[in-house]
Amino acid sequence: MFVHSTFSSRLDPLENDALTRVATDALATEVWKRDEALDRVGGDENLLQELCEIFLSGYPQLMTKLREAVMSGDSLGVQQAAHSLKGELSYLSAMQATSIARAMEDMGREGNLSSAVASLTALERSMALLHLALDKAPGVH
Amino acid sequence: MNPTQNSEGKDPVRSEKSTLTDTVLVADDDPIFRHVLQSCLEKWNYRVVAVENGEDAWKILQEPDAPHLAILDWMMPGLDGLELCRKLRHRKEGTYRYLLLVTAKDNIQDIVAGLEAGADDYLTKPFDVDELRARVRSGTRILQLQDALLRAHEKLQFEAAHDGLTGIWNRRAILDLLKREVERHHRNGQPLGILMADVDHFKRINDTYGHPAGDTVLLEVVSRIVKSLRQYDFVGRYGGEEFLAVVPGCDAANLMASAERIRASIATHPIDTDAGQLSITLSLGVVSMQANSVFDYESVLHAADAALYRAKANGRDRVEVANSLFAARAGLA
Repeated sequence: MFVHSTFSSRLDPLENDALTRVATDALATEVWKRDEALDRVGGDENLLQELCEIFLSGYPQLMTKLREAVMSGDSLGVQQAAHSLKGELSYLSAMQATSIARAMEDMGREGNLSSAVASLTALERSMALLHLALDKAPGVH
Repeated sequence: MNPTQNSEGKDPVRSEKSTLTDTVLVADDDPIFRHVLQSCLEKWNYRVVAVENGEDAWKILQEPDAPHLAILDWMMPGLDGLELCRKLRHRKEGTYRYLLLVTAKDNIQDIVAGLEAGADDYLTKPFDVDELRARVRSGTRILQLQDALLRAHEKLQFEAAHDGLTGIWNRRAILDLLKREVERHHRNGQPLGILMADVDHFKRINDTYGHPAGDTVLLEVVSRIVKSLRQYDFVGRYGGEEFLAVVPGCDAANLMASAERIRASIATHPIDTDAGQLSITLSLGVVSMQANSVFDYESVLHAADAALYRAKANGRDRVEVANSLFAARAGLA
């Protein structure tokens, strides 16, 4: 948010728009590298769709577990829920969310949850973007 | 019955047992990985048994007909993949299970610990399907090799203890069995019977009708002896046309009846051979060991041999019983 407002104050509207598009594209690939995920399943579009559907129906539960563990200061719970999320996210090549989940797994393992709330917020935002991306993907649902 | 007995001509790797090496157990608590593994493996014509936790995997892997190849996730609630590897390798009995452990990419130490716990190979998440396929293939290959080795070993074991022509125990094996049963008899006092049988004028049959006819006679004689005894009696080829039967838990009267039944089964029905129907007779020497008998392994053989000799001397096609007191003295002398 802060970065965005700095940009908008310094750049004229047209330039700002183009930059936003570039930034959005870059962000999009970080959210979901679909090609990479497709390669991983040997180019099987059907299988990838099925995996996206399983993910979409299952991840809210994992997020709830993670949130509850963060709120109750349960390091082991954080580690386990973040580990499960990380596995699925990395398999689907959801780059940004994978790295946040991995960081949270480490926090849980090390028993240091001091920045877990901030990471959880970042992960929730990233998951929302991923949800949109997967949802829009052809063939899902 | 030995499993190799009926497997002649079959490729040991491709016979019915190999289906177990084509079934894969998948244990992963994550629905995405279960689905990836299951759909890929099924696409490659493996049969898949998928479970969600280590306890269920452990239950299945302990069953005698469990899949020989298992893909186990490291991190599972309850019993994890590492512990599963350890538990499985702790079991001494049973067939070898090929264990493929799945672990997260960021922890190299996991891999070392996994291999030390008894995993055969590992896959790191996120794995791609080509790697999965290659790892599963190499596991299947090893299992098939192991299967083939096991079968070759069983076949050799069978051949080492059985007579090539008739399929009954060979001389060494029937003597081992006799020794074992004599020892058991001295321990528990249960009666033990020994029958020594010899085809009358067998050399004449071979000389007159040829060896193929002689072989047919031997096969039919063995078949009739085996049919006249119980399933748990032991019958072996003691010499060319001489057979030894070890009959545990059988009293003197029943033993005599068995011997007479064998004699009659040969004498009353001619044997069909390529050289025509041949009338064959059998002479038998019988030893019945009762509780407190003084026979040992050597003397019981002597006694049976002496009784058989008397059956021959007294006109053949007959049963003679060893005089236990006389034979025991002879054996001990």
